[in-house]
Amino acid sequence: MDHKGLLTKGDLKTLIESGDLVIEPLLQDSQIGEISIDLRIGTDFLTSQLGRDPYLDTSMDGEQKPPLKSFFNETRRNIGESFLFHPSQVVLFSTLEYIKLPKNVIAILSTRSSYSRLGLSTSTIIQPGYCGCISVEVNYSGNTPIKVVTGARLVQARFYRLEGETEYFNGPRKYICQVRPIASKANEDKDLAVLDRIARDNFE
Amino acid sequence: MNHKTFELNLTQLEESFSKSKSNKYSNPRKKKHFDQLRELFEKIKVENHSEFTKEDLEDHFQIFQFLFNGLEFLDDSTLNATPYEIVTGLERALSDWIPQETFIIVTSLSNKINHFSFEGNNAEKNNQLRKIIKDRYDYEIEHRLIKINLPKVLVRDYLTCVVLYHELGHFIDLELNVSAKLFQNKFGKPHILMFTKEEFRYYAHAGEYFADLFAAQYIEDSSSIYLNYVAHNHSASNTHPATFDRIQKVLQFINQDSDPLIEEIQHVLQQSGVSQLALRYETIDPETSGFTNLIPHKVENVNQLHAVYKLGWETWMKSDDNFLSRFERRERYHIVNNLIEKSISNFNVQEIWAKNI
Repeated sequence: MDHKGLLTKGDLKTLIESGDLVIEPLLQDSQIGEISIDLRIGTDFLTSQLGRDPYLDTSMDGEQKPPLKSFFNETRRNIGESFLFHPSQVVLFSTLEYIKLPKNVIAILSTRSSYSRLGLSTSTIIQPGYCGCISVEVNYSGNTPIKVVTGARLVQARFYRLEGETEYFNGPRKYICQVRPIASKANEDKDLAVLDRIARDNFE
Repeated sequence: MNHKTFELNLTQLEESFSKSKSNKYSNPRKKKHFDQLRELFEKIKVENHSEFTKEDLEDHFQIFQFLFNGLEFLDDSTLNATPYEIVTGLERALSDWIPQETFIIVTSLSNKINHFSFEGNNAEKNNQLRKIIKDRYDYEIEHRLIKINLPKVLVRDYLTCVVLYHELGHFIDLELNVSAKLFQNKFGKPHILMFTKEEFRYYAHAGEYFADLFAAQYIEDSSSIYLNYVAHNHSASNTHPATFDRIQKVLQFINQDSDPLIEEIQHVLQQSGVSQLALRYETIDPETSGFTNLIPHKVENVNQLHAVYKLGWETWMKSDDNFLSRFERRERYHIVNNLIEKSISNFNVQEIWAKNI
């Protein structure tokens, strides 16, 4: 019987060999560590930019409002080329690896310590059954731009096996099989319509 | 062109170079080509233009068109703009036919939804212009551009972009003079001496058939599906054969059935000492592909790489009944395109990693 909790190197290799856990391309076996797998910074980025609109509006998506993605600029690199992280700039990138998680495994992403020490940090949870490259949002708290080579191992994923299985596609999903970073769709949350009605109809 | 319109053109080019010089090219050959265009332009600028004769002005009109056109395509061929993954497939196809080092495939993005086209001259015309540049400025431009237009809105639509293989076929046709030789064989004279409607029609149709067959070598009948959509039931025109006939010709080639035109093309290619038309794809079974599990297909070789587009089309065409049926229409569209893109890019990354490790 498979144990629950944090998966170790042997567990991870078994899952990959059986095809239950997909990580493609896995360029080096050494990416699989004792309790985590290193993932590489991919070649596609979204970077925040200043535009004509004064602020990001995460309230209900309306015809009159600009999409949140309009605050981001899309840019690509070839593997091996560099990308600059600037202080206070929001950056989303896709992992080089396309991931598919088993229905009973959750993944937690963090920056590898070598990059955390430079001020780069991230915090992302990947739900069981997820498939796609992972959009990683990076917060950079340093005060000097940092050059990072695309394809470098920037983040690590820890994998936890859960008690039961979950069905990723049971509910509506905003991010499916993505291979490039996708800007926030916070203003597409369905319950925002309810909150909008509450604000309009109850406090006049 | 007179001296004032020459000055106008010169100034316009100066503006174009000023805008384009901030482009970042990941491909060093594109960067070099841009630098060479700029060097040539700098040489032209310091000439004493007021003394140009009519012939000088005419030659420079041609050179200016060459520079404008080069910038137009380079501008839309940065990594951010160009359909990089599909261009890597085209480069592999190109190398089956012509030494690739000389050429750079570039794209220009159009606002017109069906604007797929190849733009260019054959080697002879190109050499004439290069000779003018060499004679006047003792300058040689190393690379040649293979210029393909495509709709901007479809730049990440890997289903429709299969048409780019057809456009590359037009370049190969011009470069190897396939239609020109077919014409010569039929009418017993060079194609530049074509005068009648029938002659023009034959030459144009031969070019379209060749481009269709060239594409079918790699993407099977994928472009026929698109063709049947944009040109459904179109009868033959002066420039294009009837849609039905084009689709049939591709089917005959894929099924390796005998056909007089295909045999004649093969004969011409053989006589020219170049590659023959052949099936250069390795069909991927949709049922066992990665796509059914919502993961990219693990492409094992170049022939499979070309076949990923057909896999995408099959997946899309059956999406009411296959694993995609649970998703909304727009989600299906994104899933198919994303899986095609990642299948190609994974193969490319693994290949380049293996070469450099």
